[in-house]
Amino acid sequence: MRAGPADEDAALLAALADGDLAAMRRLYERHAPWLSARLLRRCNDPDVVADVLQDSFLALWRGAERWRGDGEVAAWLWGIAVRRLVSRLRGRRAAVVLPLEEEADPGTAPSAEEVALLGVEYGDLGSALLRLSPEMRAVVQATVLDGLSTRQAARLLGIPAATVKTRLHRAKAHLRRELAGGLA
Amino acid sequence: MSTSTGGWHADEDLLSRYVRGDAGPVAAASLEQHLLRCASCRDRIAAHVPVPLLDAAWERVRDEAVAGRPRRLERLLVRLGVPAPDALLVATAPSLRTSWLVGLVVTLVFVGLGAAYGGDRGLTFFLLVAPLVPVAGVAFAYGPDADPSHEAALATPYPATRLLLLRTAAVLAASLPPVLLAALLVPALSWTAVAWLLPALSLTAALLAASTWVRPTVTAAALGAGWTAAVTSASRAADPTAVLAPALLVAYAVLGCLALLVLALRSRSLTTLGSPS
Repeated sequence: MRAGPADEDAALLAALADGDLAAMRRLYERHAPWLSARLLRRCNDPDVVADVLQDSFLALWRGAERWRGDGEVAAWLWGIAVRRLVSRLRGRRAAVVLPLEEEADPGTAPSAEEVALLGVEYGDLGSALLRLSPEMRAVVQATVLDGLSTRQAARLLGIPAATVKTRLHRAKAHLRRELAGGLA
Repeated sequence: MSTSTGGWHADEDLLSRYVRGDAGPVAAASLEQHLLRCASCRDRIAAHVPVPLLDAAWERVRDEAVAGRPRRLERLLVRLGVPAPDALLVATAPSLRTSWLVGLVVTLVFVGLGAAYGGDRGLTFFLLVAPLVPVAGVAFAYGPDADPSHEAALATPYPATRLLLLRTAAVLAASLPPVLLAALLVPALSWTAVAWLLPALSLTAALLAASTWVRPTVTAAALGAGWTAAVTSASRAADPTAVLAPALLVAYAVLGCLALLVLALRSRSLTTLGSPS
């Protein structure tokens, strides 16, 4: 009768909707750590990240965000958090960092073995992504991986929406070429 | 769907480099996709994340969440000496509202019946029901039958036993006074108006102890059946108050203490009530 993690998240959300603060505490313990780590990679100001966590969980508590009971709770929570980040960053561009760090130096670049293991998630896309410029990767990450709209991505990155579109277009063309041409 | 991670998990080194921002774009993006589907890696990353940030944000979440709610129960608990975070968790548990309601409804029903019958039958009825009210309240407050959030209740940062005892205390505080009041309204009871508290408390303790093995509702049903049999046979034999004979009162006290001892010894296995780990 032991519930899996996904069932437990769903049960916690149901209890939270019922007004059980202990359930929200537990949900926070399960998800706030990785959410904050991921948010910190998109915004280098810990105060803003704390604000975003607060906004996200209060939105859950107040029922502004309602779980519809399908898909992954984690992915849904990230969707809430990243949108709250975008709205928190409105007018605070100084706090934004380029979401992906500069080209990793050889010491920290993923080993061949690591890339192979991560290939479970990504396939050849990973190597192709590495060859994008940091600006284009940032756009791919915000739109494709984080699931933001063009306008939201523009707000997060502090660039015009038209630039997001252009860069995304170029990045996709580049990725298509890389993946179609095969990798060295 | 949620566990199809191909058997791959992030190692500690990757998690710590990711949190520091040193993981490299591909590993980072990959890990982020993996985290969405892997609860165990999500749990393990927590050790690498700065705790002050999380704690500060949680305190603000909690304070905002409870702001503007009716806090009379919580304030009362704090005034009685319960630490504020404990009081908050007790006061915000919806299952406790249910046990309040159950306790009150049951009480009113049997007071009415007791008054209607009067005499020995009223007495038997009272003795039958009164000690079981807190047992039912506790059984209703915990476990898979009562509350879909039982995993949540037992997985709070507090030791599970601490929360269990806190909420039990809340149930007792909610259910005993109305029954006690009712007892004073049934004239045939005299001193037994108070004596039934002992079996009530020891039955509750037995319920808590047994709940480390089986579901609380199952235990409550068994205890209820046992108690009913005892009172009924005493009543048939002539005097229903025989179940409150001095020797038996001592036995209840001993049983209660033993049950609490068992609970203390078994508390570590109390991760999920009724399904020990």
